[in-house]
Amino acid sequence: MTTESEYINVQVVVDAYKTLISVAAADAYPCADRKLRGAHEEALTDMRDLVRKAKIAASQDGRYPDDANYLLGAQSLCDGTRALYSVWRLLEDGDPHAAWMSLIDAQEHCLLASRTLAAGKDLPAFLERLRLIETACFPPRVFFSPGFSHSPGRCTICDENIVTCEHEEGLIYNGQVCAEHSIVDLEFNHIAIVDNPRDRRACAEEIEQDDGCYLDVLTRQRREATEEEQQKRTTAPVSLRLSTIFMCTRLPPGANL
Amino acid sequence: MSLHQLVQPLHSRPLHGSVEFWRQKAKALGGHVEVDFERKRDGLSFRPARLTVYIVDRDGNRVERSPEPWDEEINEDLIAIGTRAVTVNNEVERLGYSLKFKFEPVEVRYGDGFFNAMLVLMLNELGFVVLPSVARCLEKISADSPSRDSIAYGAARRDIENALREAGGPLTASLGYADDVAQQLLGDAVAYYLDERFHITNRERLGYAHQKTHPKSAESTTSGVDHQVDLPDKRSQDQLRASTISVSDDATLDDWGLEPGNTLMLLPGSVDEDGVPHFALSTRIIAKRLSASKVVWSYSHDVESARFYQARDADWLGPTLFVTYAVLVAQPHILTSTLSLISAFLEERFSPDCTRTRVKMSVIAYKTTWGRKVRHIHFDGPPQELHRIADDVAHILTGTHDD
Repeated sequence: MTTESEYINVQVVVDAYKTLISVAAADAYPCADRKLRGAHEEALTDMRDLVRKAKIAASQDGRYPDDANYLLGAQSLCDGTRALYSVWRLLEDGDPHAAWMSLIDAQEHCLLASRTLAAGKDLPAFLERLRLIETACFPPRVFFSPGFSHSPGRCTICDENIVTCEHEEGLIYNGQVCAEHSIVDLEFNHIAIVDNPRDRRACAEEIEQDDGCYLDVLTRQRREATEEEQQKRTTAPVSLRLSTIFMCTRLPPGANL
Repeated sequence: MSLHQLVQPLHSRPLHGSVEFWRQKAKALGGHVEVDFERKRDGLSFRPARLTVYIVDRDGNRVERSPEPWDEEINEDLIAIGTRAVTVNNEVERLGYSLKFKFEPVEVRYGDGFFNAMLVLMLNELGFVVLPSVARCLEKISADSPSRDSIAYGAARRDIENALREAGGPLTASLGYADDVAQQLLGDAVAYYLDERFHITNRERLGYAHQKTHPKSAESTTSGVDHQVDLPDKRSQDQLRASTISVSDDATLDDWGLEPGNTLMLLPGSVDEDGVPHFALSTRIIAKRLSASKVVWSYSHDVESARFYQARDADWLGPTLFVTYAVLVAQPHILTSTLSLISAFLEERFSPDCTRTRVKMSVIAYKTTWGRKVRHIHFDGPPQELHRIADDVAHILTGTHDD
């Protein structure tokens, strides 16, 4: 059977990727020309698809796990850099909540890339930049994390029971991250306010103020409480609106081929 | 390659393609090639070794850099064309690491026990012992004398000597070091090799520096764990903390609803009213690492029907371990091995911030002779210190605390 790998020259893909990523990472600043940023974002999307295609081919071939792992890192860097461009675009478009999500995407993708050979010498500085953007462009956040239990799910690598299979969660195998999927029988038992959540997307979006108004944590806009919220106030002195807590069961980047 | 080339001495074989390329390039520039050996320590082990090859022009400027994963053939060919390491210390490490490959066939042929004994004997005989770096290692290694009646005695001497000559010869012949410098380099490289082979630095890091490493009996030819770690009779009072380790006599197992086992056991953090065990999520990762490290262990309950929990009152909730006194006596190193494995996992997991990571662990120890009393050990410290709990557990169970 002809495999896809016969049609993809990995070296050509890697060369093209390296050329693009070095330029795109260097230009990823909010002061850069908007059209240029848009062009980079599009190019990174196309490159990400091409790299992913090469990764799948290498992974399915089975003889080149190192190539597949490298390409996973390259794909993650494309995703991470593209997500940073999205941060600037979304902030300009007045959607800071979506921008925050993109920033966390960027951090997660680049962290994954840092565990592969695709990580270049500039990646630690890029990761530090992403960390600084969190405090320079966004106000302090209140994070949440759920406590829960569940029955064992299945392994993304072999699709067997994650407890008894040979793969270790979080490690990269042949271009894919081992993670638990198909978790069933989920039982939440508490939500905790924490400094270091499992998922930094789970945070407060609105916080009730002493005067009864609600402050949007990111836009800094205030609004009056609705009638329903005013009624609840008797039992809950301060209320918060959460972005999400269900992200805790989502698959990490790289868990899907 | 021609038939003529095939029958030439090995040193005249064609160079590795990459080495030939670097040599030609340096020659065209009127410069030379140099190499930087890198093998970073990572907890109790090392990251993969790498060679970074530099092309240096006639003015001494590095014009090209090629990082390569370690390859013994490339290294030998680099030495053959006279490529020195960037510094003398770097040369020592490169040569020391290379010794591992040179001694490997000898070890396989004679078995690690006999090889260890012969190696120590020969290093003494050949005068390595006058070098401080080697002497430091040898004084921490306790080796039996090999049997001189063995048929292998003469052959092993010859093979070890050849391996050393193969490593040392090129220092003067190809790399152009002066004779006295070359002797020092070879000695330090041997010390580098001995340190890793006999876990000298690792033992210091684990707090066993005062004990000698015992290579296997010289008569033994079996492979496997190459030294025995004995629990020291020494107390490091200031470390103890948290926990997840329980040490008990078998007599209490019934009270806990557990069957006596002859292995390290992984326990659930709780069992609900329906009898379903709830394990910390970390348990299954540590279980897989224990298996990979050949530590014999078992789950205390059927995990097919178990539940796994996670919560964020800590960044990482460790597994609950159970070790009986019988297991501890039969396998005195099991606690140290398991705790070192957890330390290594935490260092990896929380890298690069592991220096700021704090681990809390509690140990509950119980002996039937203590009546209804139990002893608690609490640890709160960096992951690297976790193994020290093993000392205190041993002391409590074997020491003078029965009062």
